[in-house]
Amino acid sequence: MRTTYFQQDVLLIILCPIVGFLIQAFLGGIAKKKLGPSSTRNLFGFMAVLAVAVPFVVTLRVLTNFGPVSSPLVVPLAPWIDLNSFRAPFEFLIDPLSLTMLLVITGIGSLIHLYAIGYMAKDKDFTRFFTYMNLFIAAMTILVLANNLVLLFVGWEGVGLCSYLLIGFWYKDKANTIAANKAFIVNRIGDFGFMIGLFLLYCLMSSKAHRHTRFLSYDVLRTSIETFHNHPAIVTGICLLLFVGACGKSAQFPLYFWLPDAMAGPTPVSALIHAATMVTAGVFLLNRLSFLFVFSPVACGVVAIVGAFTALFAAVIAFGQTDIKKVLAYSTVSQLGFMFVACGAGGFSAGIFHVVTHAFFKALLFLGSGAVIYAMAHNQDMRNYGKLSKYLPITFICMLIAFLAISGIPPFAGFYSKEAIIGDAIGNQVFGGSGINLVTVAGYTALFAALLTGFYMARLTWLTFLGKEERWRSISTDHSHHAEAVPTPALEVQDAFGFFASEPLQLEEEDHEELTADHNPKEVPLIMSLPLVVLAIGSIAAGFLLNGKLVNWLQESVQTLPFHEVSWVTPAGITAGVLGILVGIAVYFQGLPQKEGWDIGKWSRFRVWAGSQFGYDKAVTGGACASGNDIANFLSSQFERWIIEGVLGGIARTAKRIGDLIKTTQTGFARLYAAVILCGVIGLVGWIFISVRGGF
Amino acid sequence: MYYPPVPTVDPLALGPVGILSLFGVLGLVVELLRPKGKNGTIMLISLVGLAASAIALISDFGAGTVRSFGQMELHDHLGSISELILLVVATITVLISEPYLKEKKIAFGEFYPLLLWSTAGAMIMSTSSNLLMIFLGLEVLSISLYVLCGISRSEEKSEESAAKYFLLGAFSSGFLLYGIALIFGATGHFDLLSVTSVWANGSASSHNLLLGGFGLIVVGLCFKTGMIPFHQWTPDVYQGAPTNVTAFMSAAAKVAAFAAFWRLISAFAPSLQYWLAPLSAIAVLTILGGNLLALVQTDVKRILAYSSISHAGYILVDLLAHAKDPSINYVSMEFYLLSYALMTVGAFAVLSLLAARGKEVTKLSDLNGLWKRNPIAAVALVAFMMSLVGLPPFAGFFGKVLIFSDAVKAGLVPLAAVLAVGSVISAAYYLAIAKAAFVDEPNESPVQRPATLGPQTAFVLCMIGVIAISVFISPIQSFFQR
Repeated sequence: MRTTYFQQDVLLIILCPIVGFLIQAFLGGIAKKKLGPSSTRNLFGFMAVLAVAVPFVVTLRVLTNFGPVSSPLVVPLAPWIDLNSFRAPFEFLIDPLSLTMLLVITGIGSLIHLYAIGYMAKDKDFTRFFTYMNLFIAAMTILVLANNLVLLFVGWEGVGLCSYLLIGFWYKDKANTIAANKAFIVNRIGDFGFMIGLFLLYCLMSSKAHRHTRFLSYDVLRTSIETFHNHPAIVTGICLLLFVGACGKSAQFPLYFWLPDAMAGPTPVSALIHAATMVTAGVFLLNRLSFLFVFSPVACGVVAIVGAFTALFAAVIAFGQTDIKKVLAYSTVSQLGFMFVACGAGGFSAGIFHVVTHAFFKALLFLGSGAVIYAMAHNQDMRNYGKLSKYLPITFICMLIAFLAISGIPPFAGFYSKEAIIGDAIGNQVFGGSGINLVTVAGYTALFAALLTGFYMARLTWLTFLGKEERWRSISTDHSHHAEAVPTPALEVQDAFGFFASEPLQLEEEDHEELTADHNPKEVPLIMSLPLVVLAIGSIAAGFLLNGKLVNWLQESVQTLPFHEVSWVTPAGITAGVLGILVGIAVYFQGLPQKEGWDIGKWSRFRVWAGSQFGYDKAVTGGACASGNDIANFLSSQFERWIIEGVLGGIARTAKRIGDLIKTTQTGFARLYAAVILCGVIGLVGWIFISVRGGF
Repeated sequence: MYYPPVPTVDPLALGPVGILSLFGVLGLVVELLRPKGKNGTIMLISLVGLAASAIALISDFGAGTVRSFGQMELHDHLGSISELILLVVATITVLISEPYLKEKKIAFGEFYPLLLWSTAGAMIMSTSSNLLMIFLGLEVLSISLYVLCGISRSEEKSEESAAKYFLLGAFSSGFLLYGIALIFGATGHFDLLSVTSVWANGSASSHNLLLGGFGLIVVGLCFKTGMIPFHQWTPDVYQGAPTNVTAFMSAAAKVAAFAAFWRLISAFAPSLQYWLAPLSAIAVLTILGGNLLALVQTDVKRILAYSSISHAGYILVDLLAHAKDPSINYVSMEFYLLSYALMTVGAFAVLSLLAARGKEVTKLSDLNGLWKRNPIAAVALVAFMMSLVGLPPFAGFFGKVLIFSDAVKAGLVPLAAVLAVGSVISAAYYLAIAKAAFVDEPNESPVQRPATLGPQTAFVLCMIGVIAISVFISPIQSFFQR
């Protein structure tokens, strides 16, 4: 009864975006011809928002019906993989974790969809954009609602596909398609780890005599504690491999470098997919499998230290960026690192808490930066901004709130979640006892990264909105500013397929107007500022409203490890944030410092180095392409010649020769054929009789 | 005085065959009355006849084993399935024929009745365990085929193929008949049922007679199915005959002959020790020889002819597995025959499209650029080729897997290995056909003949079939077994 009731709701949540996707995909083009671009935009934009807003409302209804203390509920819909020994049906799980994620995805998703109507208004591929966006929401809901890892993987790959499609949305610009390819290929590495982890888990579970054949479903996995307990080494292996998958999707250290490039997509995409939702899928995965991770202190330690290192590393890189979206991208990488620190410390639900607050303020930051970019004729270089608070008051106030939230200033949202993370990490008991351990180190590192967060966000805020001059006024018409842009890590590799080719852009750029000295920035229209305001309210309120409550609620679905209360964490966190901001103000209140200006030669060497990600990206992608080339060359020269041409070709030639030989008997004369038949008869009957007589 | 008992007469059992023959006669009558050159009515009559026959067949499907007409007619499951496959083959042939015959200016009305009678002969052959009936069916099938092969009267190659087929067919029929005579001599019956008991109780001399008869009948059936060394007519006849006839012949003759072959092998299973080795030798020769010879051909029809030889070898492996382990039933063989029929007939259907201005165009290079001229045909052709190689998810894959596992189960591992090696070799020439259609550019622009509805339907149906029967393999298997 209860299940059937939820069945309809779950179906509605998943089907709405799918139907929306189909409508956009198949009717969008027709409508544009019939109705004209303007009405199409209104109609299809509205429908796209509806396809996300309805699931949001339905999720709210599910939430009220589900109640605050109910136990997780499995909602089966249909059979899917149905073998004798293994089953993975289309089944969905309603529990606090999935509901939390759903609310974030559909709630913030609808706001960003709304914003995108304004942002993409002039784009001729308007419906194609919303096709991908709705498909993304569909895949993401499947990812978080799935009750088994196989179905989760469907959503996992689905969001990856949409990410790829949306990064390369403006595909005429080759740089965008390269960025899309990069995201896809790097994610493949992560997925490889994910799949091996999945197979390993399959082996572990299928080798045990189970009553259940649905053994990759969470409800079955959760009751298999004994199996995990008896095989600590395998569990560690599984956890680490799944974490590789999480690293790919959530842009953690060895695999983070696709995310900054992913900013090539339209800004709403960066806000929705590459900040608020998809990139948190890794954190979600770790939360879903928290009952598995708690069995492996080693895996937890690795998760925490990788997260902490990423948080620090990305924060440092952010100082070398001048592109406003790149700064936010590295800040996202850094914040995701914080979430993984929480997971590694055993405070999985604190990670989800940060996912929620981060979704608000990071989406707000991206949408705000989108408003700035929109106002500044699609120029993204902060060195061209300054004093924009005068022109964009609403955007400025919203961005300011988000800035305070991300820096961890009370009472804004980020403060609560970040404090929870650092407290969990420093007071962790992952390795059973107290004292210095990897996770504690991660906690201190995160604390330092929190200080840097305030610093680079102050840099962004002051360079963009405050300062003393409107720097775009000094742009001369010779595009000198563009010529000396920061050297982004180029991929100087020759590869035949152009996956990573870094040729100069030959195709026409998208029809953006140029930023000129007499440009007057204009505040964004209501449809874009409305989401900003809503998100700003969320960035203020989400923290203290949810503090403690969310973590308690999540206990139903997320297992956590105990930790010591550390009393000095709260003041230390606040101090770090405030200190960071103060240093930032001290450096940037004048505006753009000389040594961060257009002349890269004047930059400090460390900043240039940080700007190029310490050479990491170049080394990895360049190295991978070059070694790939080497292997291919080796295969084409040696393997091809000796094995393919020599051995296999030899066999083929021999076979042909034999064929030619027998072919000579095929003379075309019926008399010869008859003679051969006669020989065959004699041979066959003769052989039979010889064997009757017992051989020759 | 001896009064023979009045045999049980079951007209229903003869229904499918009778309906088909009568519709053939009706077609011939219409042929006399119709305006010259208009075959539409006859074609329609043929299709109706085939459909009626199929309905008669299906309505009585799975009724269990019934013998009627004094045991001359055997109505069992193996026979019914074979008949069904034969009807499918004939229907597809009718669908592809008319445009092709028109193009070659040989649109004679008697084509369709002959096709129906030929099918009826094949059906008789596959629904009897009486050797005389088998022989009768074989001759009805063959004589119609001789005429069909030579139906392109103005074409030397067609005439040559008919003459060759007839001469060699008559020659091998002699062996078959002599073999039947020997078995009659040993048992006093024409029915294969009597063989087992005679073998068990008989003297050494009757054993000799039986084995001699068996060997000679095997020769006759090996000729019909194109086993090496009785195969040499196959490429010449397949190449010379009109392509639609080749399509029909390559599938129908095999389906019927293998049904009879299966009954023969079942009856002689107790004497396995004496003939397993020579028949295995035939299987090995057929598989390897067929594939190696196909490798050096440049004419698509000849390639497919040799390919049909090698497929006969694969099926022979399954027959031998059945002889060795009677628990292996006919399901694998019939599944293989069904998939083989669909892919071979489909491939020939695509080839029949190439004929232009009264000429056969069947060189490998003539396929070049097919992808651009008729993408559906090209895609279908590639599907047939992949299926013939035995690649999943096409039917050919499962057919080969079934035969392979049967062979391993029966302990015929060397034969299974030869089957695998043969499949590997076959990939070379099948993929060469696919490459010709898809990759290579034509030298000169070939004559464009717009594909008409009939052939297009035919090979699309075949393509769907080739995929569908592999998807629904287990329902089909249980249907065959019912």
